Amino acid sequence: MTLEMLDPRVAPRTDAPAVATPQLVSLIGTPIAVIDNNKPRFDLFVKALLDELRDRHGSEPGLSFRKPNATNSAPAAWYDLIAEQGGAVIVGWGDCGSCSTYSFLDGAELVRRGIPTVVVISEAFTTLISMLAESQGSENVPRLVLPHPPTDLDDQELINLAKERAPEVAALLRGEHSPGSATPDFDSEIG
Amino acid sequence: MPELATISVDSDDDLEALIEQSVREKWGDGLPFVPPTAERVERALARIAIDPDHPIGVVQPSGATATVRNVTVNAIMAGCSVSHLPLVFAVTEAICNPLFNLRAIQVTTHPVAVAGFVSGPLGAAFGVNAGGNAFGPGNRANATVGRAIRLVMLNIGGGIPGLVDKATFGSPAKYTWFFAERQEQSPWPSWVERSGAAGDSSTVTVFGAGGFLNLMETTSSADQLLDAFALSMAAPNNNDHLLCGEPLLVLCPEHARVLSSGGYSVADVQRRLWETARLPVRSFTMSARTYRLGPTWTDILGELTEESLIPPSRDPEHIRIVVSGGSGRHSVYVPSTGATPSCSASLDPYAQLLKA
Repeated sequence: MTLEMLDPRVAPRTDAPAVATPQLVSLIGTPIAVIDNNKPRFDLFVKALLDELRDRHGSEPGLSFRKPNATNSAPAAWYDLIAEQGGAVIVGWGDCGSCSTYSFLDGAELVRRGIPTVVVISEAFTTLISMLAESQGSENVPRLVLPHPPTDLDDQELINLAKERAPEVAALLRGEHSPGSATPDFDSEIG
Repeated sequence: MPELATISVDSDDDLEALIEQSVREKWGDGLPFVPPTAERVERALARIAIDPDHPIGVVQPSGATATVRNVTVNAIMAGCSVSHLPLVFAVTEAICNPLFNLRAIQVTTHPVAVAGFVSGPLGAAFGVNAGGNAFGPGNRANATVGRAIRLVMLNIGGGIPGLVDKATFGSPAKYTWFFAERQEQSPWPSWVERSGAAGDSSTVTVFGAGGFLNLMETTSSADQLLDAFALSMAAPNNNDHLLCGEPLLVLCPEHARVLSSGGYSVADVQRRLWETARLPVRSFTMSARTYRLGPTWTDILGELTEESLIPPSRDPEHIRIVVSGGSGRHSVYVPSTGATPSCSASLDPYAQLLKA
C-alpha cells in the first residue's frame, strides 16, 4: 500500500552569495573592536584575549560596545563605527541558543561589510550555527569554538584559555585558519 | 505556481510508517497527524478566496516564506478543520512580525512556547474554547491551531529540536497553546478594545511564554489578592525581572470580578502589580546583578543600589491582562522571555477569505 502526501517543509531562504572573507595582512598596529553581548564573563575572557593579541601580535585596543541583552542584533550604527575605525572585531559570546545566533548574525553582518571578524561560540551550539550559516550564505564567518560551558572555568582558567587561544584568533583574522579545519601551529607576529 | 514536493511511504501500515518517517526526517512533532494529501490540500484551498501563493510572512530562523499554501499543508497535518485556517493564517502573520523575535524563540535554551489567543467575537464564532480547560484538552480549535503554528515553526521556520531548537527542557506547551479571551465573563473592556481597535473586530495575539504558574487564591479582598499575586510573580530567576519582560496574567472570571468589585480597572491592576511585584537587587546573584540587571535596568531605573526594586516590566502597561478560563479561583501568571514582545494580527481579513 502506498500513501503519498505533500511535503510540509519549505527550503530555507539563502541570502546573496557570501562575500570573500575579509582578512588582515598583519595584526601589528591594528585596532581590534569588541561587541560584547553581556553574557557572564565574556568581558573577562575578551580582555585577556585582547591583552594577549596586543602582547604577542602587536594589535591595538579598538572600539568596545556592550549590548544590553544578548537576544537581539547590535545596532547598525555600531557596525558603521567599527567600519570607520578600520581593523578587526571580536564578537561574543555564544554559550546558549539565542546568544550564539545573534552573535553570529552580528559577525555575518560585519563580514558583509568587509571587516575581519571572529565570533566566539561554545561547542554545544556549533551545529545550530552551521545550519544558520548555511541558510544565510555565511559559512565563511570565522568562529572561535570554546569548550562548553565556558563559564564552568574559574576566572584564572578563563584568562588562561584566552591566552592559549589568542594565536588561533590571530590566524582566523589573517585568514590562515577556518572553522572545522585542522588546528595548525600559530606563530606570534612579534616574537 | 511552485509545486510542493511529495513524501510517499510503502507499507502495510502506512499511517504508522508515516509517523516513524516524520520523526526520523524531523518534519513531525512525534504525534500522529493527518496526512496532507494533494486532494485534502486542494479541497481546503478551494475554500480560501486568495491566491494560494499569497505570502503571509517570513518565518525565522530559516527565512523561508509562509504562504497560504504551505501553511495550509501544515495546518491540515496538525488536524485543523478548514474553518480554522483563518486562525492559523492570522497567528502565522503575528509570529512573523519582526518585533516578536521568533528567531530567538526558535533557537533559545529557554523553555519558551508560543501562546496564542483570540480576542473579539470571532473567538466564539470559530469555536475556540475560552472556558474551563482553556489551556487544556477537548477542543479541536485550541488543540490544532496551536499545533499548526508549532509545525509552521518547524517545517517552514526550520526550528528542528536538537539541531536548531536548543531548548534545555522545552515544554509540553510547545505542542500546542491556543485559547480565547472570555469576554462575556469579564468585567472590563476586551483585549481588542483596550488595544484601540473597534469592539466588534477580532485579533490574535502571540506571547513568548515561559510556561505558567497557577495562582490559587480564595480571598474576596481585591487588595489581598493583588498582594498575593505580586509575591508569586516576583522571583530572582524570572526572565521578566532579569531582562525587563512582558508578563501575561490570565485572570479567571472569578478573580476578575473580585478585582472589579474592589474598584480596580485593568490599568489599576497593572499599576498595582508593577509597583508591588518587585524584588530588591540584593535578592539576585552577583552574576545576575552584573550581567543582567545592570545592563537591562540602569537606563530605565537609574543607577542601581542593593535596595533598588526591580519590577517585572518597563512600565505598568507591559504587564498584560486578559480574562479567560472556567469556574474556580485559579488565575495564571505567564512569565515572558524578556526579549520577545507580544504581537497581534487582525483576524477579520483572514476570516473574510473563508468561503461557505
